[in-house]
Amino acid sequence: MKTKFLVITILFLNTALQFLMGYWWLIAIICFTCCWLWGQNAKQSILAACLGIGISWLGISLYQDWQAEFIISQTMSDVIGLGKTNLPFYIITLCIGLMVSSLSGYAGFVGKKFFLSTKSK
Amino acid sequence: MKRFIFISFITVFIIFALNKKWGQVPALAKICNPFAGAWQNAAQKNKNISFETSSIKGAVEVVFDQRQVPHIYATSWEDAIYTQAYLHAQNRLWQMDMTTRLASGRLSEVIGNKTLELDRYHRRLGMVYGARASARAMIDNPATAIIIKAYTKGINDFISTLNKKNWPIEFKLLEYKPEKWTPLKTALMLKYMANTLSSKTDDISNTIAQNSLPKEIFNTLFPERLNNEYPVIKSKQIIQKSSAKPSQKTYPISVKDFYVHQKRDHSETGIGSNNWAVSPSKTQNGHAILCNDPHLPISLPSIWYECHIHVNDQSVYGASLPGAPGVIIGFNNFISWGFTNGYRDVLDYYSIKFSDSNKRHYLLNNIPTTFDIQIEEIKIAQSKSFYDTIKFTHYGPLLYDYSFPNDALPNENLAVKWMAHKATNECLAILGLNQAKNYADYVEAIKSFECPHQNIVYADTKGNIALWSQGRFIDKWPGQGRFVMDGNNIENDWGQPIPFEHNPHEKNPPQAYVMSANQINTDNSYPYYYNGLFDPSRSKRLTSLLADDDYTIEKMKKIQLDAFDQFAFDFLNIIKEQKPAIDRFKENLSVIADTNNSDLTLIHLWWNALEKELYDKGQYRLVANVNYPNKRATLQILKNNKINGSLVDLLKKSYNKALSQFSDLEKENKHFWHQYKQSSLLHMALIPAFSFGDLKMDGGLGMLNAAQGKQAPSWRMIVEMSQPIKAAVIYPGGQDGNPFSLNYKTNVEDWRIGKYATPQFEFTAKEIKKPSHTYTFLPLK
Repeated sequence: MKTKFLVITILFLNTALQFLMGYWWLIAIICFTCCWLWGQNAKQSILAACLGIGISWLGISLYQDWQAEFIISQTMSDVIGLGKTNLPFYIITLCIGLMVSSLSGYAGFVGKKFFLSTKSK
Repeated sequence: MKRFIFISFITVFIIFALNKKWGQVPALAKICNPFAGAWQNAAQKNKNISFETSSIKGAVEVVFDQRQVPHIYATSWEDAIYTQAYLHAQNRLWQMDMTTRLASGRLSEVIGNKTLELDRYHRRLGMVYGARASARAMIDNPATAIIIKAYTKGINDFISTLNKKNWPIEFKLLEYKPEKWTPLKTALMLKYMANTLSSKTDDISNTIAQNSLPKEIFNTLFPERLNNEYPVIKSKQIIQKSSAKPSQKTYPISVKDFYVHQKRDHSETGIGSNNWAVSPSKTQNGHAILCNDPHLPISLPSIWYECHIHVNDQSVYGASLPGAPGVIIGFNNFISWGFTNGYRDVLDYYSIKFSDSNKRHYLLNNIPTTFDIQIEEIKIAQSKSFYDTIKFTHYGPLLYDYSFPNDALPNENLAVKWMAHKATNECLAILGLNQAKNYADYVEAIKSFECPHQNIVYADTKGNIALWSQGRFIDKWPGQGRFVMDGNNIENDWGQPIPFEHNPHEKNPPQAYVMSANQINTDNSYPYYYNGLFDPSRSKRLTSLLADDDYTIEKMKKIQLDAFDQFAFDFLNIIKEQKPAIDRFKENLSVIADTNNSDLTLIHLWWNALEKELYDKGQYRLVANVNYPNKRATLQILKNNKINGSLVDLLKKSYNKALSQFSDLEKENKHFWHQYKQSSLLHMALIPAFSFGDLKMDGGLGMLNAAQGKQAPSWRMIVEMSQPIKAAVIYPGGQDGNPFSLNYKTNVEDWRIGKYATPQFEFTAKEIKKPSHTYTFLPLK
């Protein structure tokens, strides 16, 4: 239940804030904050951050690419030098999203743990 | 705690690394961000949209047809131009920004150190200096002021709708933001065209050649007039002209100053525009037909944006230039017009001598004269600004000096005087042509077209045809401006302009056609002196193809797509006359430039080897930095057998070299004509994924279908002046400048294979067949 809540919160917050402001690094702030507040363990924090950001990023990418008849992913893969195919640009996009979200989600959870342990001492 | 600090540090470090531009590599995370990066650059869906704006006075309806050509229906030119500007910006904003940056020497601001020398060149050439003068002229003229203001507003209104996520992709990749449009930018756009078409001269090459070759050889290799030319204006020009000043002595430059630089080019390389019009007596349907295919360095997004503007009872259709108002080449319901470059020399160099060690003064008639000094700050992305000192002389800016030496004449300080520095108002000419109803209107309009020099062809629905070789020219003494001139002697300065009426022109000539293909403008009867980079190669072929009758649009298409290599044909004829006994000589070589013709590759390899033999060694050896003579001059030398020793030996030697090169290419299967000439359509920022390499298409330089390298027909247009008007057009590219749009390259394939589109030239929005979508602009109440 908690994991589902965390995923939905990250997904919702990320989608809303990014539509409003457009800064990609908001994913780090969102994941860090949510996992600090609601993360129960490291595994859950990383999983929720990855799922929240992954669904949000993949969903928007797919929608936009579909609108452009999948030219964006194909051309951008070519721009990066990975051939005129769709998959590479999706993979790079997801890798960035998942790497930053999991690290910041984990940092949020570890931070909370450290904060609570300091407080209890 | 350690773990928290470590993880936090790693996260921040990765965010920083992914958020930063590394050299030319854009910030990866910014580009991949689905909410604001490349993913957000999906092309707009074709849907009907209504806008309300205070920038227009009446309602404007825009109907897009299936080819995404906008048909703009407005009640005033001001509103129509506002809408055109909005559409230009919507489809081509980055292209417009980049072109004006290039023209104004501001590329380094977004690209970095790599373009610093190019920026310095453009600033020192006086591009901004000229553009400022022209922008003032446009604003001072009431007719253009209103249009320029509407055009500027249209672009800026579109820019104000943008936020970071819908910036064109190139802005995101280069990480800079679109900036406001100004009338100066429109002037820069037009000066950029002037730069492309009129800043190339062979003055420096001629000066070096003249100073290093015996007079007789110089005159043989670089004659002012070639034999058997077919001038643009065939009619005798009856002009009373006062006698010109006597020739001044050419400024001597020591040849020992030259350092070795092996690159050698042809002055006429890259030239290839054609236009012609035939009288009703020569056409099947009894209406005049006008054709134009201007050749420019082609790129993506295309130079042109196809557009139809209808205001009250007048319609105009054709190729517009994103960044400038109106239709540049096209037709309205009364007349049609087109351009080729005239190539008269309108840029001259003056050698300047400093009179003091501080280099703040120069000699003018032996009197120390102060430079007007301007310090230019060139901002450089990810680096410190560069400050360049530009010194203005009596003639114009000092383009080359000790701090920015010319490759060929590194010890000379060269000031440049260029017609594009003047306060010309080409915008007025374009608007005049758009609204012209007859020959008198056309003549009145083109008066304002002063730089670059253009051959402006004309046809109307009444059956008239005409051609003016138009520009603002100086009454020069013979030889003036052909070489670098002594800037100390003020006698070398430009004199009075030639009256407009004296510009070469003809209307309804006896041959029932007018034509130009960048060749010399007039025969020897024209009383004014001029020189230039004229290319005679296509005029001979075009003259022979226009000798026929019963022309139709279909017949004209064949002429525009003609891939007969007249130069190769003439070269082979000379060889046949010489009858050299060459081993392994291939008989009956084909001179039709089909994509898979390999004979033509061999002929051109042979020619290149022959030129090298002839001009890099032996009797006609040229010093470094002298361009090859015009190919026609070389043909003349071969024809007259003016070679010391045996011409046959020269032909044999060069043929064997070419054959060996050809065999190497054959082994790699790279010997076909399309592989040799490498027609390509590259993105302006040279991003391969947004470009087309090796377009397999017919034609080549020196042919009517002059597609080779980055040069090609940028807009093919044929107009039959019937009622209603019939036309066929095509250009390489698509209406949308967004590389992710399906309309980015719509026309490329048709253009490559020589297919044309039929424009919809309808007087009401309802008549547009199969509309794609509409925009409605409503005045804000």
